[in-house]
Amino acid sequence: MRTNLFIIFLVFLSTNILAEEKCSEGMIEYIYKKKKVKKKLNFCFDKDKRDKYIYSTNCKGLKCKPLLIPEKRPVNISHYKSSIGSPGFKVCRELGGSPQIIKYKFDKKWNQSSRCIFNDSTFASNNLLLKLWKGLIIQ
Amino acid sequence: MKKLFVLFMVIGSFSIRADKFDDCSQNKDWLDKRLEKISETADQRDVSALVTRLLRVARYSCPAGAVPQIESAANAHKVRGLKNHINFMKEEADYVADYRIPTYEINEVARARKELSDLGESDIPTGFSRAKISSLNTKGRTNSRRKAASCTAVDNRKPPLAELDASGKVVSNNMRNQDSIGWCYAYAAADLISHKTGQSVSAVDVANAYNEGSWDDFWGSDESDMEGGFTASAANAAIKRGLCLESQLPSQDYLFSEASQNLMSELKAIEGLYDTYYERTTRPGRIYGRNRLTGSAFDTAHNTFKTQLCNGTIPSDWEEIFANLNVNEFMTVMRGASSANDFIDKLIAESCKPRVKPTISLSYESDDMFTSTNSMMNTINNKLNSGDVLGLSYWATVLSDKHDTSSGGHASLIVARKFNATTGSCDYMVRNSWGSTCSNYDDAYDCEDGNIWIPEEYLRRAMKGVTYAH
Repeated sequence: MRTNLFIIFLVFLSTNILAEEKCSEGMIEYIYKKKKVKKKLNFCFDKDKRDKYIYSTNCKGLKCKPLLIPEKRPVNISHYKSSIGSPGFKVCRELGGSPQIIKYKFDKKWNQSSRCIFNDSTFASNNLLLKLWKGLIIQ
Repeated sequence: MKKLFVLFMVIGSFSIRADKFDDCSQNKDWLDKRLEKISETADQRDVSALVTRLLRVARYSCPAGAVPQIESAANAHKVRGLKNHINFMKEEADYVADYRIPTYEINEVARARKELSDLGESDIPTGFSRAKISSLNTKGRTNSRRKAASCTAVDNRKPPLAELDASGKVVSNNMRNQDSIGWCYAYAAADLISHKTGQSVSAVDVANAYNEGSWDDFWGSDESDMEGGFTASAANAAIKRGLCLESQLPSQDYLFSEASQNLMSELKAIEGLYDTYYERTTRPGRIYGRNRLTGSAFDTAHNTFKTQLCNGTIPSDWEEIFANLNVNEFMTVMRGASSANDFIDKLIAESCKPRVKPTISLSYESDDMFTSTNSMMNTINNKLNSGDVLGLSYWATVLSDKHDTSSGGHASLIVARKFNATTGSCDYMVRNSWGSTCSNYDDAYDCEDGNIWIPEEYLRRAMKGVTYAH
């Protein structure tokens, strides 16, 4: 029984679900028509050894529609005219989103990032898309 | 007979690719391309991870009855890849031992052999003998120790490339993002100049400076069609005509767009605006071409266009890039332009007034295909030791796969160096222009906000040239 519980625990840790998710109010900043826009926003934050990720609260647990089952929607970004460019932005567009460079603050520190906006209430950082779609991108 | 057999196998392999996914209702093209990639990669290396992902996609996209056949084809490549992986890793171990202990490569040979054994394969390539492992470890350890002495820690990041605390330590990185336009050389050149001058130089302006007077420019190509270039030439062209700052002509602000635009499509849209204006303010010539309207006819056409631009009847996001200009300035430039390309050139010139002359004498040169790799590495180390940063031109496929230097001519910067005590390698920090994510890069690399630490043994193979200040 203990062995089974331990195995279940290891499987849980090894899945794509990030282990340190926190959702609360933070700040988002971006530039629009040369003007800095800074606003409070509720969103979720998580991190692993490699990177930090943010996403809208309706994507808590990575359970919103744009992030579900990447295997159903693998992407091909090889048709972009220039092969050399930010893969995150291309993947965002292929998934039907609009990419945006932002800074965000969760806890005390401002972080530079970029997010993919799917609709008014749904977004995810581009690096999260690259993580979830790893092995499913043709470049 | 042998020739017929080979021909049959070649045809067979094509038909495996061609008809395996015919019944799949979704993602057929993706599956085709992925299997092709698996087949190519298996000629050299393990493709197990690629196969796993392919099969997951196939299970969602294809009827249940088709999956076993797909599985069988994919697993055949997996076995072939594992066998070739053993030989490849043995060669890699010999190469890498010139720099460090080849622990990873030795382990990979053992792993691949075990996997093949677990799969029930009998014809498994031989692994390393104990004597060979010992010899490789000794050689790698000796070379790594030698490298540790010379690979002193250097970090030349400073504003505006990064923010520093009072002790000079980097606290945050200001990363650029070129999006999907092929102006990496311009972003690298802008960073080189920014590092010297302490001011954030516009990458869009550097690209425009480089493109002006180029053959593409001469033949009338649109600005948005002119991609690719050389970092040193771009930097020198920008310095010659005076610098434009990011605050005057931003390279990234436009990236907020509800229509999913990128810089290239924004430029094309503005070029298209000019074409519309041209159509409206000219009429067909008597014999050929078009002639500008005159007098009140021209004024009416011009003013109508301006009114429609202002009220949104003619949709446009031109302020996303040229936020420094008002609509009157925009229309004045349009009126005086002779082509779409000229229009963009003039808009940039107007946005960048007044241009900034560097207070220091600045010019760049590059070493490339006629320079040996050893010589380029010496240049890199000497420049880093003197507090400078360098442009790097290289094969970008190495970023996501340390063994892949097959394609993707790209330009970035080298900004720092460190001895990696974990791996025993001398690592060089490559400042890329793909934003602050680390998710796209090989897991073997340490990564910091989109700055990638690439070990010397992989950097040498991917490197094509370096650019540096005189």
